[in-house]
Amino acid sequence: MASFFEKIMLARQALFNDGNIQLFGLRYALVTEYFFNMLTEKINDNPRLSKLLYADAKRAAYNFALKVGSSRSYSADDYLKWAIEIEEFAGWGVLKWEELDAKAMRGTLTASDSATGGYLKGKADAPCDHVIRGLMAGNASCAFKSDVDLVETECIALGKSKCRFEMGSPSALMAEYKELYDRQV
Amino acid sequence: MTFFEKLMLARQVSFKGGRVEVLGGQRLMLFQQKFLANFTEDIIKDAEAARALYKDCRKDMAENFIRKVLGSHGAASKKEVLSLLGNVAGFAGWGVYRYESIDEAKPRVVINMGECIVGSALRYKVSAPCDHIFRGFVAGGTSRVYGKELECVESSCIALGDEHCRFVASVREELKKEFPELYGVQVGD
Repeated sequence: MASFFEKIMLARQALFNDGNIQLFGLRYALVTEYFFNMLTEKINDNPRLSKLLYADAKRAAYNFALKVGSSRSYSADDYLKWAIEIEEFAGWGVLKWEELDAKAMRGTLTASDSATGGYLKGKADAPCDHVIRGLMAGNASCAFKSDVDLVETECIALGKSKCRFEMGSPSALMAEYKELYDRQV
Repeated sequence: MTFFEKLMLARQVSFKGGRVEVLGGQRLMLFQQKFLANFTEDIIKDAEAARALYKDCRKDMAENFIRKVLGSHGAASKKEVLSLLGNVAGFAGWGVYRYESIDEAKPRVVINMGECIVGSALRYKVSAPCDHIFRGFVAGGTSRVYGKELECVESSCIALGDEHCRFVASVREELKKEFPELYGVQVGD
């Protein structure tokens, strides 16, 4: 069976021209994990900056979902299952919806082999996958046509086997994960 | 044949299992242009943060990426290494590069970059050159190639309406002399 990469290459939805990478008509660049991990290490103890990273990733993913999702008439459920394939393709690790309830706008996402989580293992005092969180929050907010966020409740960097994220509306997350929400969102 | 196609043929790039790997297993991640632009625009509100971003990219490129890439590809002339780095930057989607000049004696390397990914997204939205990430990569890359501490300034930028972005990498004293104001803002001390 063709991999996701092979499928989108065949469909000409991923283009790698010299100087210009495009995915579904939007421009992308590749960044080394070291640079990104060093940056995260520096800002992880600064909630203001880590929230900024999250917010920027969320905006970008919302932009992607708006452009790509709306032209394909996906249900929210189907779009979010497809969105994790995109983010895996983009190199963010192996993602899985452990639970997904599109009606309630709730979900539990796990990430294995997160580059940042692995790098910061033993060095971080707090969950560190702000970009993965932001990307999925942006995708989900567009899919649900309503603002949702993700908080990271477990992280490889803190010794867990996988990173774990809870998705919900701001009010739902504030009620259940106030401390994490205040720090991360 | 694009550089990507060459890498694919040589099995030097792979998109598999949640990982993007290139040239001997270097892990990379794909970032959307809008994210890079948003993040840069937010960061550059603070000049010190912009310089710190540049320094982090410089450090990463010099100490990590190039060392590992060259480690898996053996020795090559400085010009061949610069050519490889330019190809990698283009393959990685940062823009269409051209070496305007290379002076190995000084050393001094000048790169013109068309359609720089961050600069083109921030066209007319910023008041100063804004490609700090790529500038850091140039400084780190050329430092590693020449075995000396080189810095880099961005002397033209698409974001300011210029035709292309222009990066000048050289030793600190030369850049301070040639671009005193830019050096102070973009590199500092």
